[in-house]
Amino acid sequence: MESLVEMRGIVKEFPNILANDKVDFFLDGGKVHALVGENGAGKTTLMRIMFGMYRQDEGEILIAGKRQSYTVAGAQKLGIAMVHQNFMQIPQMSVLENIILGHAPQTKARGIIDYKSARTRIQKLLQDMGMKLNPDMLVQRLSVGERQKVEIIKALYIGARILIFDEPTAVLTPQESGELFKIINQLKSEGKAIAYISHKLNEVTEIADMATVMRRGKVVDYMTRESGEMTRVRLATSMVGQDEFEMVVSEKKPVGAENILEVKNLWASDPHTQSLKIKGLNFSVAKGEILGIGGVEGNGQQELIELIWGATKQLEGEISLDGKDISHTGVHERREAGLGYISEDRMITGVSAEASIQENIVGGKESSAEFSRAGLLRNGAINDKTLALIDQFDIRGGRLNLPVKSLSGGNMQKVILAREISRNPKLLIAAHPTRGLDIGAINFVREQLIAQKEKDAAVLLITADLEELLALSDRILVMYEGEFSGEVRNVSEESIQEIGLLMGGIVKDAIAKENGGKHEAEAH
Amino acid sequence: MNITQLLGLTVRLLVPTLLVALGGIFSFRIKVFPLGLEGYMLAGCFLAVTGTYLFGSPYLGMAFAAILVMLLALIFAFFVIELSVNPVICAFAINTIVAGMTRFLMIPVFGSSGRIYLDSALALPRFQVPIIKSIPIVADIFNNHSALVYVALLLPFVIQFVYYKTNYGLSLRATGAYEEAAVAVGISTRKVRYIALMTTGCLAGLGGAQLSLTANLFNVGMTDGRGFTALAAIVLSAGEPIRAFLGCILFGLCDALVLNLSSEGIPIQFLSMLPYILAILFAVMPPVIRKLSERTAFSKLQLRIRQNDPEILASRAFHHSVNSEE
Repeated sequence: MESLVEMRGIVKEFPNILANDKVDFFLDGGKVHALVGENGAGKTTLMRIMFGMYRQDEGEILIAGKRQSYTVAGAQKLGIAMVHQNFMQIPQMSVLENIILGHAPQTKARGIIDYKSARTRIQKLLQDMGMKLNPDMLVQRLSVGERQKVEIIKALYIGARILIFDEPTAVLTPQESGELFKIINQLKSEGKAIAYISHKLNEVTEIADMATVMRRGKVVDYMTRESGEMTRVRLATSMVGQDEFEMVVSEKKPVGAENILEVKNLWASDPHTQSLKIKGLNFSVAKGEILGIGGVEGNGQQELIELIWGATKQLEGEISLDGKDISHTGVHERREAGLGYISEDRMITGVSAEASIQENIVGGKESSAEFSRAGLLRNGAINDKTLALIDQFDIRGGRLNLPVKSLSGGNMQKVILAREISRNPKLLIAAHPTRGLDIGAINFVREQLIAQKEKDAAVLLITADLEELLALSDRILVMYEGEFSGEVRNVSEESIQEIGLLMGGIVKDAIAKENGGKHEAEAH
Repeated sequence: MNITQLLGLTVRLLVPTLLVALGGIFSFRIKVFPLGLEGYMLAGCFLAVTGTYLFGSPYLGMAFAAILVMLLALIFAFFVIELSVNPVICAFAINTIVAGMTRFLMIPVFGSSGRIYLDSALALPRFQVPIIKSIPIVADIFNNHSALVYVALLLPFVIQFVYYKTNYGLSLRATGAYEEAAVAVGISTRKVRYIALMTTGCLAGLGGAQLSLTANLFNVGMTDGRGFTALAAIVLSAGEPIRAFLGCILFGLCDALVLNLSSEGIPIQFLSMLPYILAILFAVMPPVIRKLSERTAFSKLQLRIRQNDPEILASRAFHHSVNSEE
């Protein structure tokens, strides 16, 4: 049988990196072909070439046997659609408008949209796929899972027969993932060809008919379900390879007695919608402890961090740092009291990208005696400090007066680590500290966090990455809709299942809930 | 002067600003702040008078103004879209150049400076509208205007339709809201942006034409900040044509009051400030109100939590399982 898509010998080079090195890949109708590999293995690049977003340097693409060369618009005409990780949707518009955008049916009068026929078609598609969605709902009101459905319907609306899913479950709860798999199976039975990018092995063995494994831009393995070769073990081995990079793992310690951060009865709401985002949280982080906060993104983690570092104001509750009440103080006072913060968004809140390394290093401390005298900066001292930190934190490519934006992501993160850690924080908040970094940089960041814990600082780690949560945390709290759905005290590999349930808001131990119910009754 | 006359005057005065504002929202919608409206409008004033003088017809003068200002907007669009020039700088350049050019060109074109009057034979014809002219009060307000007044009064509704019912409108809104997403579905956002910016020029040029041809004269700097008044209407309306219309009615009413009351001994300087004071008030009020209501809601919610409101406590599903302090 002729493949619907065939990619032969694809080569794509970016400055400094060979993203795809003679890669072969194909898609058949009615089959799911998984593309497996770690971050940076070149999966997304390959799929973007298939989708027309990039053009390959070498190699060819055959669609239904015909050699083609196209842009995104051309890809759509060929029936290729991509379900992006960051949805390409317009939040202020309705589901219907988002779906017909760029492909609106017109009435006899040219240029005027035939909303009626659009609605009928969309309703039919929704029905066929067994999805419940209101076409008139504004997209900004949808959950992430629902927005993904919109993305799928968008693809089907333009008659796609080739669908590319780019790590579709990264932002979903386990339940939503289950629903997605049903949808993918439905698409499969309709004869669509599906490419499924993932590094989650469970998913691949569950959904894929065949899998291609990539490592550092090359195809290293291919296996099919039929042959029975597609096992998690084989996938994992070929994904990581022989020269396996050992991931840094923290040695677990029992929770100490002395609390650095204490949060009591913390409540907060969204200032615009008044909906409650944080609902009466109580927790503490002890000296020398890494407390991990897990959960699907958007369950209040972001709001919680902002409350702790002082960007937003709580409705109610108390936050104290090393015995000092900081509930009503500003960001500067909190930092002076010993709070360090590695922000989730490097480019926006982490560094001032246009400013130089030394300006970023002294930022917030520029008025201290160390760096200024009589209102004038002590540039000598600032430069010395910066050079020392560039050395100590191995900031590659770092030199004085260099704007931080010209560093790579990993080195930019090192600038942040250098700034925060050199101030000897009592509490270090690390929000998604390794997101988007390569393995070397990830390990560096992890080592630094562990070093902090060993220096008896308290570390509050917020991450959506389960592996990281398990590797670093001494104790884990899982957030679900503004609350902790559960706590895991003895963190081990086996905790993953429990955490998975908690992420979906399912408390495994129903008895605990009942006991808790009594608890609450007593409290009143 | 009675109230119907006042309203009649309002209609006449609001139309130039309305046309300019409606043009400006096309730019506003694609996130190009239309600071050049004042320049477009002034160019429209001058070119309409010039065109009328050259071709001997006010309608040809109007078309002349609309087309040339649209070309001016094309230059602006080219700079902003192709060369990525900062639109603010570009708009100020247009305002300054137009102010200078109109002053300068008066001498070679008309051989005079300061102010030129057109022959009264070239005045815009006014219309007696069949049914409206026989309805008592309505006639005083809506009858006996020039053609563009009627067009302008319908235009907000037409644009509303374009925005929400046509393909171009959908693409325009998408381009303004999230350009990448629009590109991803294959919309040519470049084309959308060119059309929007040129429509701004065309309508603002017509607004200027209406201003000078109604008065049958051109004088230096005759727009007198009307382009910025239009800008205020755009900002207040958040780019919604019908709301911009309402804003323009308000500003027109103020203008009419100024003309009326100044003959009664009230200092004209104070009255002239009125529309701008209103504009500032209207611009400041919504965020102030929002802030206040947010603050009230915050305190209310805070109070409910402190008093252990059962509904709020019940919103917690897991409180008991973990959160009770160890």
